[in-house]
Amino acid sequence: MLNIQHLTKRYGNTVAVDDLSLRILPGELYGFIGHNGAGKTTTIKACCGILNFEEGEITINGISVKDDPLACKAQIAYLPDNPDLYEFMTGIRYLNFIADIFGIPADERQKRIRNLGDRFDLTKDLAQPISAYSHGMKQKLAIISAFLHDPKLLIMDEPFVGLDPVSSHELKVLMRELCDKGGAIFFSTHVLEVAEKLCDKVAIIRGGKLICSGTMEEVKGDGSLEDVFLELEADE
Amino acid sequence: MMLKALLKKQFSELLYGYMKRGIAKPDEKGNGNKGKLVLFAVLMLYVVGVFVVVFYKIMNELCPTLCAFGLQWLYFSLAGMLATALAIIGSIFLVQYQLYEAKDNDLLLSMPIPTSYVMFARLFTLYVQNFLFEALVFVPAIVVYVQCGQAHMTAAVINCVLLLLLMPLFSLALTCVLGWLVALLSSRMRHRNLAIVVFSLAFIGGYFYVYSQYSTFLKKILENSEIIGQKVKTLFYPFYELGRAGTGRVDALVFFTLITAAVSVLVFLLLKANFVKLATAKPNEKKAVYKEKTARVSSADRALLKREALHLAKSPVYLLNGALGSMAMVLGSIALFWKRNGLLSFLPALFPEDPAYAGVAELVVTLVVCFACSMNAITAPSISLEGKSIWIAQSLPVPAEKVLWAKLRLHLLVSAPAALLFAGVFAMLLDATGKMLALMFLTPVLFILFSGLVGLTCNLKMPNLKWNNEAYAIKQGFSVLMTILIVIGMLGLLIVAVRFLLDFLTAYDLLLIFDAVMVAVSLVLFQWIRTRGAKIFSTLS
Repeated sequence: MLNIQHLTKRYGNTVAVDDLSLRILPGELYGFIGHNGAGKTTTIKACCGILNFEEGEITINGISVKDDPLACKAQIAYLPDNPDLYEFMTGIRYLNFIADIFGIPADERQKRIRNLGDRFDLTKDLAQPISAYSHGMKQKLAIISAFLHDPKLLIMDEPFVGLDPVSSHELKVLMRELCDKGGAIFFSTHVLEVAEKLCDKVAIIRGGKLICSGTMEEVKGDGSLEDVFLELEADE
Repeated sequence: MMLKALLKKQFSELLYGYMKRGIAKPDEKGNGNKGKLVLFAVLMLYVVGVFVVVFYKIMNELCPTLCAFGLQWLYFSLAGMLATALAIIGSIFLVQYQLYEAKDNDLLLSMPIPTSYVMFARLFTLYVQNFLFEALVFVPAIVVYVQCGQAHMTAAVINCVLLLLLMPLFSLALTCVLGWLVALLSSRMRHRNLAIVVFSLAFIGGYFYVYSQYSTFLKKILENSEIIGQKVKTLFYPFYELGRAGTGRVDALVFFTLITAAVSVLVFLLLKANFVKLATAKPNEKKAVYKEKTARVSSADRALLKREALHLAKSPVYLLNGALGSMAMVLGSIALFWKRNGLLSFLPALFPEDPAYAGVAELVVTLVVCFACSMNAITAPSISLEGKSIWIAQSLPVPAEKVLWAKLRLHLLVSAPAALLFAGVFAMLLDATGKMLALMFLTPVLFILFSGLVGLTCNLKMPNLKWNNEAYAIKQGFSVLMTILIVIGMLGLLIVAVRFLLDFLTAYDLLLIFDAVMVAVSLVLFQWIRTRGAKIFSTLS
């Protein structure tokens, strides 16, 4: 589904991501872990085609992000680390805008908006301007918009930040449902407990370099993910 | 120490707002910023220069006559009133953004900082801004007074310098009260944005009316100076004392100082008592409840255009700064049609029937229409306005050029109908026919296209996505300033051509050449935006 090969991204003389290679298969829920400034967001943005990179190749279902970014974007949904949405729109207008761009028919979008809105308890607030939303409500709206067009690949940067426990649980259920349908999810998180319980595979990045990756069992062995992460950090 | 840190923060925020927000980051080699800063400083000097020249001219007309009548004090009273009015106009919205609705009010109030310190730091930067506005009027007033060579000059100059420091306190106190009233009223209104637009339009209309009647008002002031002097004394007593102080009277200076101190302390105490409540108040908006209904499906192109239109409609500051030309053209068309009989009798005197100058009237009104179009700057801040939410447009499966064309289409849709209406009314009044009639309609449309493309190009080259309030992207955006200068410069070229080439070329030829140049430049810009510009947009952050 998502294939990252030898990705390198530099900002001036600083190497943000250094020769990173990862492969996410259909049905996989892939966690991406690292300390602040490790290169997670840079990698995620490069995968979404919104950040140029100098070396390497990223493909989504065999299509190169560099050569045909639009075909890739049509298959993915991206959720950034901060839900900065259009404050001049209401929630429902924003969802309709996304649905228009992805060409979702009226009856289908209505059904999906109702379903997702109810699951995140946001339906009643959809007529309000986004500027009146709290951080958590904006995060929920961003999540709904990401799931709205039924993406094959979901790329998320810290998706659980700002969510209440119920919504957090609902997101985990939705993530699993998407993967069970054959989709894939690649997401970064600092909440190691969530990653440990939720992910099929995990990758740990430090200073732009991949230091460990594999199935959850392979990475953590008999210990916890937190122990492994702290151990790897201490090795540095 | 604490106060010093707060003042430092306030001033760095202020300088950042004026200097850096409008200027894009330098490239990785550090090129670009210095040159842009110099250009920005030159442009600011130019704007300040224009204000100073205008007020110098006004003062130069007032001073000799009023001094001849022995009404030196009225001269300073009027200068003081004008300076105070300018300071209030210039800073009323700043008071809202920097005092009542500052983004870091919650943060600072949660810290162990006395409320009075937070207020003082904010008020002090506002005082400095008020001072700058007042100096634009009062410094030329002092210069003109010195040139007139009146009695007690040394005392007058010393008093005026002290007044220059005191007056901003007075205007700041008034602005704080007015700003609070505006914030209070707008928070209780249902159609807040509409109210702001209507209020601002009325204000701008009033300003243009006063400006257009400037000579008449000046004449009336000079003719009725005794009566006006009496009115100022009874109705605007502080300005009476200000005027007397300006002539060098120490007792009046003491009086004005006491009045200013009393007003300032009163406002400060009132603010201090209510600051926490004011700074943390939320708009009293009724919560809308969502009712499910079938959505109207749009194509991607239409959805992008709707997004741009909604942004314009929902933002009073964008609407007023981006589409002022269209509003002026619609109102101008109505006014022209209303006053058509008077104009029809006036036009032959302005444009005499002479075969050598055939089509000049049409050319001049086309220039007027284009000038009105130049007041529309929808594309120039449109990329900066994406702000932190630019990731949405970048991650959507639509080509970046489509996002950019949606911005251009909105510029055309908002500007062209109003320009065609305005040109149509002019064409009817001039009874234009044939080739010139066609150019009267074609030129403004090409000019709108050209200005829209210039706006997009400038904003792609100088984007500013890191703003806290979109007013910064619109009002202080470097790209907006550059666009206005280029677009007005293009009209300037046509004026120069008319001035020097009309003896060799017909009005029709001149307009045709102007159109051809615009088409050529537009094609180059179009191609650049489609290729390089789209790439820049895709990875902006």
